[in-house]
Amino acid sequence: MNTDEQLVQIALDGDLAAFDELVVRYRDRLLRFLMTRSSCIADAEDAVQDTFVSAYRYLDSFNPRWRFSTWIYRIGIRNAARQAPQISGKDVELQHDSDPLHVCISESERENLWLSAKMTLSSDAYIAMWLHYVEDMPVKDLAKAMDRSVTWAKVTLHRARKRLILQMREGVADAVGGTSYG
Amino acid sequence: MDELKTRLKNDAEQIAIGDSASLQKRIEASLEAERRIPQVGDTTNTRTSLWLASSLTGLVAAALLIAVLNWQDVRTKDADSVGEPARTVDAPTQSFDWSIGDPMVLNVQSADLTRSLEEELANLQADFEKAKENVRKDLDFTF
Repeated sequence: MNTDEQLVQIALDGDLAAFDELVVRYRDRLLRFLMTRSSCIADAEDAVQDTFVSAYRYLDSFNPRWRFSTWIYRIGIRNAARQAPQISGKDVELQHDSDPLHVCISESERENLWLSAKMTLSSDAYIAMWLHYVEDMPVKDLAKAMDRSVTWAKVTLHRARKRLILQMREGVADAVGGTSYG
Repeated sequence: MDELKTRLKNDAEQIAIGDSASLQKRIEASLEAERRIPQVGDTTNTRTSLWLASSLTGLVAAALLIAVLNWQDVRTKDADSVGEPARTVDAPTQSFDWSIGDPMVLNVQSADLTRSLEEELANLQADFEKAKENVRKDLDFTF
């Protein structure tokens, strides 16, 4: 099985099916990520579509020194920011009815930590957490994807992690408290 | 893998993404449209071609401009020389000694009078040739 970077090279050599393979690999992952960054599901889908079109258009500018995931997420983040520049956990009061994260998480899963993260973390901290913990992106790569320094990425991850651990413990405490009353 | 990481990964997977087949079709359609216009890697070629075309156009325009300016310069000199004969011809006429009565002297004098213009023309032509040579060298150097 070819790596992402090998597929890029094959696509650059003219085999466009290789790029389609990259689309299949990253479509759902990007959509899931951008759904948490967009104001509605349609916007997230538009952002995913634009991301792949941009990636295809500028494929020859891809630097193989970096992972393809870093590059594609970088484009995705920019596209999402262009679509909804004011959307962030702190800047906007979330409307739960239209927030794609709420729409896409069933009622039984409402203790989903990403909902808490969206409410409590800054936009950048949220992105950093997602890239590091869901996409397993190394700190150096996520700093590159977000146009930030490695130090910034480390500090942000550390703070966000502390906050979410606190959130988790509070959730457990609430749950324990709830059962004791029950 | 620590508890937070496991929880974040699991919770991310709980985010339902709906019908990805329709999104796949949209992406394929937009990529197909993109492929019909420029191919991958064509942007660099297009940029190079544009650069070459604009450079070539600039050089040709410069060469034409030089040629036109030189030509106009030669014409202006010619025009000046056409307007002057009354003065230049008058001078020898006044000093001409009719007693000699040799018409050949007139021819010699007119040849003497126009020699400076011919030299000027030869100089201009030499300048023009030099300019042409410079342009040709520039073209060779550029391409």
